[in-house]
Amino acid sequence: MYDLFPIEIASSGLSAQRVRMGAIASNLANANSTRSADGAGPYRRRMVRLQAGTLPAFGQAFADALASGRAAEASSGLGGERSRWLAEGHVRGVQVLGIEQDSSERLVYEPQHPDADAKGYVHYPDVSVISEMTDMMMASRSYEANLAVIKNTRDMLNQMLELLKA
Amino acid sequence: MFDRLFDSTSRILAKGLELRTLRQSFLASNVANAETPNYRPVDLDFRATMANLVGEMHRADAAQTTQAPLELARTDSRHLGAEALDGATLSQGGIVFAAGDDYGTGNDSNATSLEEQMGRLQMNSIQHAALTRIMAQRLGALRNILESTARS
Repeated sequence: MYDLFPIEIASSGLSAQRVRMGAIASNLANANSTRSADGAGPYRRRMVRLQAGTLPAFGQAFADALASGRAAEASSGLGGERSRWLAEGHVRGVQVLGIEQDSSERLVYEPQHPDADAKGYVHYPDVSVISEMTDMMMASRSYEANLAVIKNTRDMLNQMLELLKA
Repeated sequence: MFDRLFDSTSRILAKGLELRTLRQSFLASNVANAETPNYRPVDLDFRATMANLVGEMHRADAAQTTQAPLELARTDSRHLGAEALDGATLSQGGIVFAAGDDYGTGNDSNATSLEEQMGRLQMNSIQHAALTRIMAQRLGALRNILESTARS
């Protein structure tokens, strides 16, 4: 059912962007947290790593779609090249590879702070509010774009379904 | 019987719809991976792939029937033919990657331009809508014929 592949792909984009939003929210909320939950130093900035993931079923669907247009005897043409496309799996969703932690710290001289070290410096997480905000805008634009793909594809499928109406 | 009912135009339309839907997957993939490092945007070369499929369809039809393929009569040597549809004159078709020039433009080596992909997406769905409209009209014509035979 490759008609639904675009929706599947865009959904993977939506969830990846949501994860990204979560990491950004966490970074912003903890921009000044001098302690992490495990007590080992300040909060660590979270970074989401995205990776293009394969959709194995797509290769077969693509082959079928190309094959259904041809009769058995007319099998020349796309042969070798087609198998190359399928092997490489060109259509990809996106997946979250992992959430990394950035261990860099920002030192601020605040001797009276309870978490200050022996020299009077407080270790803050290296969160730049400005870059988190721009990241947030990018994530939400990306989310919108994926949503637009879903709406667009839904409209296409609805038009096809209209054909069945008398 | 259905071969008669659904002639080659309907089959070509169906093929076109199928390829448009496939192309939607390619574009969706680009949008989903707009921020994936090292991702190369892909696209389906609709024109070449379609020409290939139609060419194959025609050749298969020609092999199955003794009937001569339906062609435009040429009464003058300067008339344009319909060779472009036999697929032989066009490239093999298939997936197209972003051109080498715009590959790796961003810091993350991802050349996807979201605006461009959204534009292509819109164009693709408009073309799809056009094909659906034509398909609906053809089905409507068939329905008319069936209804008129029922009445008489």
